[in-house]
Amino acid sequence: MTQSFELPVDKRRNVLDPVPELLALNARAPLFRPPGGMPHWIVTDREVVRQILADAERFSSMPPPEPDGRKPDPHPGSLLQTDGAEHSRLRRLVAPMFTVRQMKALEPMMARIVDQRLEVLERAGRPADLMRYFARPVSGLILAELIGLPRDDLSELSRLGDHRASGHSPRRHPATSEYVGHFRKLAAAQRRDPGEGLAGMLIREHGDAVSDEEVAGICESVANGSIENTAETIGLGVLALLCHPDQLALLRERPELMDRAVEELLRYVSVVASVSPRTALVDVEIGGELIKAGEVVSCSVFAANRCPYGGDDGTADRLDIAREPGNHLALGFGVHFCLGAALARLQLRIALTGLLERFPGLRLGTGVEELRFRSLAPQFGVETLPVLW
Amino acid sequence: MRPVADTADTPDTTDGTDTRVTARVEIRVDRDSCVGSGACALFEPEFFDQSEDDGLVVQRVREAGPEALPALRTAASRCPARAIVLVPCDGQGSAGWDPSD
Repeated sequence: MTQSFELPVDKRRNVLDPVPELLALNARAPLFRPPGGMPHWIVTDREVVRQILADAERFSSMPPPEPDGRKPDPHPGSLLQTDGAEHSRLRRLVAPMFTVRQMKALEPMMARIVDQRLEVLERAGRPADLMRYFARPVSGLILAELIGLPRDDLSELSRLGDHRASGHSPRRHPATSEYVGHFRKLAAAQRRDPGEGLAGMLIREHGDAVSDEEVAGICESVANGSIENTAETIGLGVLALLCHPDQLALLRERPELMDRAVEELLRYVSVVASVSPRTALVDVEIGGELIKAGEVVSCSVFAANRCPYGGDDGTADRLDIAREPGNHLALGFGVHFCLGAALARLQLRIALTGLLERFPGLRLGTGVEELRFRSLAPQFGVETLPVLW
Repeated sequence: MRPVADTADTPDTTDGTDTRVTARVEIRVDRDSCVGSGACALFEPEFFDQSEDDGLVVQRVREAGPEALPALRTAASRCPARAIVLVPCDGQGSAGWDPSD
């Protein structure tokens, strides 16, 4: 982790844990001004994060202006980068697809994909990379089925996703527009012949009230919020369990704890370290500081979930799969709360259950110190996770 | 919109009991605020469901006895849209959401 010294403090982790500097900043104040000046504020306190994310009237989710003052390109259909009535309109187009009941109906499809990938992982031989053979394909294939994306597009999207995730890559910007292009093509194809997935459903049910650009934007939002988030949560979740053999043994002994374990792992690994930035629309006094109108605020849900907090008996930093599920912020809070929460929870449960059942002797295939992490990606994660069984 | 309080002044009550409530509570949901997260339907399916049409919250029951209060308070505090409010049937004000939960 030689690069870690250049990273902002809220992007750094000590394997799975917050770095001491982040803990110290959190102990000092609920929010702070980071060096470099952008974002203007980083919020680490759980209650202040909740207040800001719940306050969509004073904190906008529209992307802040570029450093040169230029307004960012509009992004039709983006669920994360819209406010108010426009956001509600988009969200309500897709919310019926993501209910707990709808996701349960997709359980057989998810179970089939998980089973197939367990076979592939086993055939890959020991040690096998859990990310390559299991975590990434599982979340990608499930997402492709869900939105109606041709499977052939998946490997291409995953390659482009890798370029986008590497913050300083010169290929990042072309990769981003190519990525968007895939969803535009999907929307046009589904307009001609609407299929069973999300894209087809939007077109069948809403016709011309939803444009191709919006269908593409919505599907891209859903893909962005799903593929990597779920894959990285599976990977880091497995790593967290393997690094805590007592917790892994408890889960194997009491499989009925799986739902709690999923909530706890979501909280503990918080792959989205900071939710997309908010911009104050007016001066706001919060957490003993004054956030001025126009200032950009980054809410660190990783810090909020993992730093000591008054209400948690000082156990926030401990992995405890039997913990009564609390109000963690791994899936966000407020109007932008994760649309795919039910999808993520179910997928994690099926993937982890399948993995533990198939491989009773699952263990790390390398030393923790050998692992390389995706510190610059929008979702924190592990690049490869060699496992043995 | 509920006013946002400065956290420093927020009382820390963690025991989850509310001595004001000894009778039944009325469960109110605000479908204008609801974002269809499904947190209530997932964790407390006895009380909450989601509509097939718009994905938003649907109440399965309007009132509950005091024995249900801990579960209902948890559901209210978990709601990311703060769309669930509990009102004591024999009193005033909210028994539901506590900012320190």
